[in-house]
Amino acid sequence: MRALVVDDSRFLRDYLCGLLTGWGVVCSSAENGEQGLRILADAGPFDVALIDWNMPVLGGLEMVRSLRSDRRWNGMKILMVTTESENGFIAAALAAGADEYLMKPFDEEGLVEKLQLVGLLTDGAK
Amino acid sequence: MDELTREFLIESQEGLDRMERCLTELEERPQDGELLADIFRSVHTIKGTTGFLGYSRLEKLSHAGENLLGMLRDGKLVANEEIISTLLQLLDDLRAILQSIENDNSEGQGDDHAMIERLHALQHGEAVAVAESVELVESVEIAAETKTKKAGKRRAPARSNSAEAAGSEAAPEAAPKPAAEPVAGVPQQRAQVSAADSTLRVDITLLNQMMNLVGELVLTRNQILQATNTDVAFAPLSRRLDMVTSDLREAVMKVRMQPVSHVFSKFPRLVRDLAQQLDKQIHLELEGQETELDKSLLEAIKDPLTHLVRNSCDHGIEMPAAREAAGKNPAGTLRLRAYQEGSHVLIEVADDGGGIRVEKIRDKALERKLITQEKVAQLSERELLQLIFLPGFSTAAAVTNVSGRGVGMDVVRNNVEKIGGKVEIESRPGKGTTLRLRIPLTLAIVPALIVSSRSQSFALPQGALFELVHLTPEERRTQIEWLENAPLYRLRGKLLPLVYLSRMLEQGEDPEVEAGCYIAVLNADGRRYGLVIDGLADPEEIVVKPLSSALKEIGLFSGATLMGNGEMALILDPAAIAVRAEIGLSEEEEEEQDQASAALASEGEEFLLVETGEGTAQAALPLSEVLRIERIERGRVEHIGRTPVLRFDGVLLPLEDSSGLLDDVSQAAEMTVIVCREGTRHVGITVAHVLDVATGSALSEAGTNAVAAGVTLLRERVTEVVNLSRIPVLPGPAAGPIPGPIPGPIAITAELEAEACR
Amino acid sequence: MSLTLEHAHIAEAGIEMCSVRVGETLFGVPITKILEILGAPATRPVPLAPSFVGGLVHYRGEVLPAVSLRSLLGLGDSPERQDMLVFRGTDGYFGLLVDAVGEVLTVHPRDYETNPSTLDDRRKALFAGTYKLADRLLVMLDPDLLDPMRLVR
Repeated sequence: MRALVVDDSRFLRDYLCGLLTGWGVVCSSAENGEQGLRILADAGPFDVALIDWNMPVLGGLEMVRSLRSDRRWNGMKILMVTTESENGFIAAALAAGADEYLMKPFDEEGLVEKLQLVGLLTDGAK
Repeated sequence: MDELTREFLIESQEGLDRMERCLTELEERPQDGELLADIFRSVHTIKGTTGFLGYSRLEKLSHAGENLLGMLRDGKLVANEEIISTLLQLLDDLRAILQSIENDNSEGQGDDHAMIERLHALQHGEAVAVAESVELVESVEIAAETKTKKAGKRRAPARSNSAEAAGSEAAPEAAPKPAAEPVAGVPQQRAQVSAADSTLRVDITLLNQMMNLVGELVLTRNQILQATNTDVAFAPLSRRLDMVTSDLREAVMKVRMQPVSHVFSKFPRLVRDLAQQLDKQIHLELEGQETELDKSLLEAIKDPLTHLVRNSCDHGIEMPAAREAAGKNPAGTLRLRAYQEGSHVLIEVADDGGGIRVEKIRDKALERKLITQEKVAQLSERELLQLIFLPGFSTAAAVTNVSGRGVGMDVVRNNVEKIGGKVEIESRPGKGTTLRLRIPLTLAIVPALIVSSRSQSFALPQGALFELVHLTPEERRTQIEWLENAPLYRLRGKLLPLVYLSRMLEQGEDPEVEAGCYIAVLNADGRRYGLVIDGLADPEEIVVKPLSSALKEIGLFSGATLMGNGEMALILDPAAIAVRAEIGLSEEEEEEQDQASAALASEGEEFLLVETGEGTAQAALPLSEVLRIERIERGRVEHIGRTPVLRFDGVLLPLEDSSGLLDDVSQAAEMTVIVCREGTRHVGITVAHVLDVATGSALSEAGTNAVAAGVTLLRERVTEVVNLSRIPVLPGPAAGPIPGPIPGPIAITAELEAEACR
Repeated sequence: MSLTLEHAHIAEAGIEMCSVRVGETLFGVPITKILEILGAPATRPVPLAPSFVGGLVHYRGEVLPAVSLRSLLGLGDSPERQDMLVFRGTDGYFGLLVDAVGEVLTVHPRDYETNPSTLDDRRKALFAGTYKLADRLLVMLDPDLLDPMRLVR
């Protein structure tokens, strides 16, 4: 399985990639939407993209919109990563085409749960 | 501490640094959406990540900040002075917690209630009653103008200051103007920020190690190039090695480089706070922030630079009222400017404040007994200014809590010199003060000229080198002029004192060489001189190797290096050589005004021309100081200790007998003594002949002889000006001021004519 | 002195000494203290340096001060290139220039004697005692006594 982590926080990129690679997921990361799209174009598709909401240059919502307007990435699952203060945006993200959302802070279980929800991890996978 | 926590700390600190920069810019452009989004994101990221690590204090505090910032970002609220001050306070609080986590992995005990309430209240537009009521100085304006002037070029000085000169009324109108300027700078700054995010952090010790290895590689390459340059098969290979090595070295050096903005960025905040604290108005300009410097050097100048900025705010820039009274803009300007000049980066801290009065410095230095009265009298204005670098000196009339906390300019200078840098100071009373740090680009590799002296190689750093003069054997004999034992060379009509490297290094007596030589014209710390060397080799980029402490004590070498041919060379320290040779500070040509007035003063000065000994070069005495020309019997000369004295009108005069006329038994029974005034005492000088009275011109200090402090060109002849003050003071009661039986200046023409027609 | 302690530890096994010659005298340096031996390296004289400095020597990218044992003993310059031992000093590495490096000898503490009282003061300060070999004497050198930082004082 391959995952793309898009977040402007180095800490969060490392944290997410750390969890994912621990399960054997091959992880790529980008620090904003624009870079994320570039990586996709070069190395896509991925099985799942975990995208932060608030990023400079190209924000999460814009990135999701862009992804969903491109048929190449149809099969890719998208998880929107937000904080509770961005609660109101979750609906917008889902409307734009995100499959699920992940609220910060989250732990290992929270991440597994969401990945299972989008059908990427089976119960025994972890 | 685990890797993730460390990551979190670094990222949060970077975020707060960015926030600080943006906040001070926000004062200029409170509605700038991009700025607000940036600030919001900094706090937002902290809040977003802190939950993962369970730091609840941080989370609550950043959450409250995020809410307020969200409203600002969405335009529901407009930032004002109070909001910005509160946000800066929030920033400090967040930093303190991060620091505490870094120290002992705990958030520490602190009560954030007041801050959180304040942040809440501001969201609702309430004016906050703050206990320690921050006084709002509305007129404080801080503009961090990011100018992207090309480094290395001197800035055209004429930036129209009319808006500033128009006074305080112009300030509100001028406000939109700075807003327009930095906008161009913003995207660039952003680009830098995101570039920084895409980078990889490398342990600095690893970098240092890489630098050393590259240094080794450069040496090996140089040796291979020399060994293989005749081998056809190897030549292309070694050329390739040469190229790759150069590129690699450049790349590694680049890795270590950081823009000075890393250090500059904290100053807008610092100056803003200082201005509030001191009730002053200070406008900060930052220039050349993109100029890059080796990371370790950047780290090393942080504190000295901070001290200089504090000093300028505290002592340099005057109170608004005082400025207005002096006809200046009530808001002072502090300019930080970085630019590259050759292999150095120069960083200037310039204020348009009151400047430094040299009399004050002199008095203070005397009062603190840092220098003797005698010495002080011999110092030029420029040299007097240097006294502030003496340990134990502080110009502050009162020790304030802003600067003058025991850290003096001597510490600043020591810290800068430790990294091979220099501190220069220029000051004009009423106009302001400029302090300039001259920092080598990198510690490790410097361009140098390889010179030879007695067939040993030395590396001469090119930073101090201004030009090279080649003298043929013939020219060497005729064009190096001697003033007693001080060699001089006329460089475009001006006398350049010379230092023979072989003599300075005691490499043995000159063999009577029928060879030419080179004069390397150097300017080290304002000391201008010519270094005489035997030969030159190609310039090389040398890898500086430190000398062992046992050899550092020699004091004339700043290190050693390995050259391409595998030979070792010592690296000369031009400034130390100048000091050892007693080369004085020379007036800079830029100081045109001072120079012009000095020239005027010396233009008309008349000198009495004498020969101090039989057949020796002529010497000059300032005519204004000459009291009398006396013919005396040799028997009248007495001695106090070893000092010859003459009883004259009831007082003892010390006699200066530079050519040993007194001991020369071949001389006639009568001799000539010139009685001169020197301060409050009188002194006598024995001379062989009085020649003439002449008008001197272009008085330029050059000599290093004991008595000959000055030299002048009189009728195209190099002439020593006798420095009367260096004639030793007599011991005992005889030394006191003379009651004054000696008449004032007298007409000497008759005697002079008689003597000249001998 | 620390040497006596070392002796206690290796009383039976003996101490391995690298023998070096300066002039007519045979010296020994404990091999555990030697970082490296360089055969006839190029030296570069340092003007104005203290007289014991025999020059600078390039060693693994560093420029080391080389102490000249000949100068220390007042023997005058060697006509030929000298060999050099490298030691770790209080201020980085330093070298010791000797006329020639010989074989490694094993000496026994029972053969050790302190400096004779008749030795001149200069040598007393430099020599760390003597080992009696079967046919001659081996003067023990302790690099700590030859450290340039110490000699400069």
